[in-house]
Amino acid sequence: MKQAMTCTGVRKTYPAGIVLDGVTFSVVTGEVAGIVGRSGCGKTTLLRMIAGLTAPDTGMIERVSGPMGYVFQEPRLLPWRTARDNVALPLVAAGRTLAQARKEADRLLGGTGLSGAADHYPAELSGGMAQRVSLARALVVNPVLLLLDEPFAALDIHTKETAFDLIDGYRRAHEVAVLYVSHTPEDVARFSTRLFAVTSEKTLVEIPPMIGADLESYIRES
Amino acid sequence: MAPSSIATHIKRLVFTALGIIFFLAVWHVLAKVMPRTVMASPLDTFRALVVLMGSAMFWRHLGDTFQRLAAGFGLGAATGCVLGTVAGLRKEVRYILEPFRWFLMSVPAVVVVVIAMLWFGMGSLMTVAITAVLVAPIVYVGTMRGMDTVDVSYLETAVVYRFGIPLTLRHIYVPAITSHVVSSLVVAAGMSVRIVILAEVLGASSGIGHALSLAGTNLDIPGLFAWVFVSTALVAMIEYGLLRPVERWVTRWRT
Repeated sequence: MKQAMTCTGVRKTYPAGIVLDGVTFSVVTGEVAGIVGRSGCGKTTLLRMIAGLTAPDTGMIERVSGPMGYVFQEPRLLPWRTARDNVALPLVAAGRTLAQARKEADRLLGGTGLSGAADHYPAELSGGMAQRVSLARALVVNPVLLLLDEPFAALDIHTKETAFDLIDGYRRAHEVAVLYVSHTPEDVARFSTRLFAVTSEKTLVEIPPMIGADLESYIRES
Repeated sequence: MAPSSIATHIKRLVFTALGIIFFLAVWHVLAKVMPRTVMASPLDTFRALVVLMGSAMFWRHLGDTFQRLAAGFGLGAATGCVLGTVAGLRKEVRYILEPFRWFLMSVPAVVVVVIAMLWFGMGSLMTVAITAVLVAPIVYVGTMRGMDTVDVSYLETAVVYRFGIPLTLRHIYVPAITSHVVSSLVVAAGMSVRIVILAEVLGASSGIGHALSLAGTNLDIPGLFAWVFVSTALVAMIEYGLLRPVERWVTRWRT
């Protein structure tokens, strides 16, 4: 296990007010850090800052060097590239040849049950299929840090279970830290090895493991 | 092809054919009511065209115009694309280029022709320079507008997966702006044919414009209309034979 990501005193303000303040926490590889909180409390902003897409006003975010995977709330697939090429492109960016990258993409797509859809364009995929392609794209780079922002809201229960199994299998086989944000307390409670909650003071606190129903009550009361 | 798209395709062909028939009918009626010294009928124009196509001179004029067009249009389009891309990426470049864009899009084409004749003299260089200078801002604006419409979420994905500038340009910007660029190229293609011919009328000893000018001077009205037809056919060839197929191929992902 090694430190994958550390936030120290992170603060972020939008014109509407303070979103996060004094956020300090870290995750190590092998962990799944579940982050919960009311809607609009800054969970997505936190992931975006960790990914480097939004800069914090103050504080410091340190990430271990190495690839990062990010499954956004929406699939964000390039509409003009096939499912295979959407998954392959991060590997091409990492220096692999297109042929190698496509081969690896096919393997990942197979793992998400999408072998038959590799040649399809995103417009030809259902929302759930597109989100699974997005997951394959996040895993294909062998990430050391995997950010999941409410990624499975569009999936049916069976597909969601398959996706969880895939991520869990990947986590056990590789040195990866997972940050998982979801509005579904049951999923977060079951899937996470540590739990964090965004409080009404806009900071992040670690909370003890609890079952989904208890976590739901905790979020409602916090 | 799905039955509904076949029906749409047939409908388009039928109505396009009706449009062409209506156009020819209006032309025919106008030719009937106007003197033969100012207006040729579609049939006379067609006969003149057949005669023209049998002469070596026709192909030489056509070849000269095509070369000037290809050089001027190609140079202008390439310049517009490159500058539009850079201006789309960097606002500072956009502000610097704005006065040039405004000037070139505001100045009347004939003024540019007169100035170019002063600078470059008569002939091909002048024609190519005018065409490039007038095409570039149109394609520049189209490319820049396309760059503005690129979805930020794709760019964020590129940041997460470390695409870098070359891959981001190739896999995100270029496919995203293609429709805008092709639309501007279509407008620019029609305009560049008109500009080349205008420049040839005013200052060249070969090409469609020169032949048009000669036909007008000799009161060869069917010949003049035949050359007009050739010039419009040139625009159609560029648009439907080159630009539209390229656009369809590049945007084939739109199912």
